[in-house]
Amino acid sequence: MDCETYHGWMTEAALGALDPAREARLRAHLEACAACREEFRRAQTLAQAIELGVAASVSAEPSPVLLARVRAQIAAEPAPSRLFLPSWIPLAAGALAALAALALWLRPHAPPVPHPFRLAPEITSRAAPRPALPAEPAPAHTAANRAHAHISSGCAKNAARQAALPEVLVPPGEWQAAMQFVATLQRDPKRASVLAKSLERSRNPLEAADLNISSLEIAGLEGPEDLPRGGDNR
Amino acid sequence: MDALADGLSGGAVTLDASLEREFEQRLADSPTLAFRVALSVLRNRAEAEDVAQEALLRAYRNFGRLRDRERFRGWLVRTAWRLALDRIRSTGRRERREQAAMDPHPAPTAEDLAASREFQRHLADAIEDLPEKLRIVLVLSSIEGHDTRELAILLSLPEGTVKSRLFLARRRLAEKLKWIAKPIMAG
Repeated sequence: MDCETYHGWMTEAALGALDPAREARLRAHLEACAACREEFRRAQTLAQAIELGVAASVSAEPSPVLLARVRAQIAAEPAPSRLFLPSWIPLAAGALAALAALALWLRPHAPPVPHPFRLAPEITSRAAPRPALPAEPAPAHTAANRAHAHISSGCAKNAARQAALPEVLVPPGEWQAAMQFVATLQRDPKRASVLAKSLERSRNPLEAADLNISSLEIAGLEGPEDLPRGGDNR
Repeated sequence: MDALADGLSGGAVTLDASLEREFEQRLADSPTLAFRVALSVLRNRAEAEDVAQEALLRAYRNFGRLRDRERFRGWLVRTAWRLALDRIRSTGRRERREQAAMDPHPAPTAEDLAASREFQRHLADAIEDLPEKLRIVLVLSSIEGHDTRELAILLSLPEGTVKSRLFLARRRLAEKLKWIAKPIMAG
């Protein structure tokens, strides 16, 4: 191995970072080579000079007034920023804020504005407004669909309250109109009263006269004497 | 704590006396550390003192979460370092080097002074050219003679990383200064 190779190891050796195997070989070579010994001495001197130089660059002392200036600046701090809070207070405040946000998010939804009636889509085919028929049990399919179409707040109280309200069946395709109608009633009570009167009229069943069916008169048969009863003509 | 509790119940907040006392104790041995860290970056005493003052003021404001001694010192070192670097960026490097060249560096003898001035100038330039993460480890290892374990705590790094960076910093400086030091050492 030539001296150049050993020169490449010297900086690390001077810094005490050469691996033991190489260091042993370097030491052995230095014993035999004066030029490399001199080179290694310079490397060691440089490493020490760097240590001393770095230490010198950071060994300066601050002026005595530095501490006084810091104290004066602290004393001049505005009162709120002079507060030392135990570290748990900001954490507690944050936790409370998070709990409050969670409580708001989980709170029950506000009950819907009570309607005088509730809307449900009509299941039957498009037809003229049906006359008010005497109360009869609702067909199963209508009740089931009513449940689906029913606006539910998810709250049992609201459901019970709504169940008690009279129901208006909305024909297919007229849902939007029905909702607009409801909104109008809510917005404008005066107009609502006018509409309500017209609603009242439309609610009234059509007047249908009783069907008079005259009794059936069966005239006697003319012709042969009364037919023998039950009998056999033979 | 009683003062704090009274203040809270009364609607007005007052200082915590025990924390004030603790900070005062920290303040007794902190200015030198902050100053030396800043000086290693700025190479200017006046600016290093300004930065040290700012770092200590910020430490005061954040003392509520810096009560542990090691944590406080580590925070102070990093803050002083950052503030010094920010100041360098705002005033420019060229101006700083010229200014630093005028600042005298202490030296033990006249002969050493003649040699060390040039060497110190080149050394200072070489330190400034080091990557930040190598530079801070090198500087802190010299301030107050911190060993690698203490450095690791101050910088929140593994001890192995500190050792590695220290070695790399010194090797870079040695490689850079070898050609400058040779004629000086040759006499």
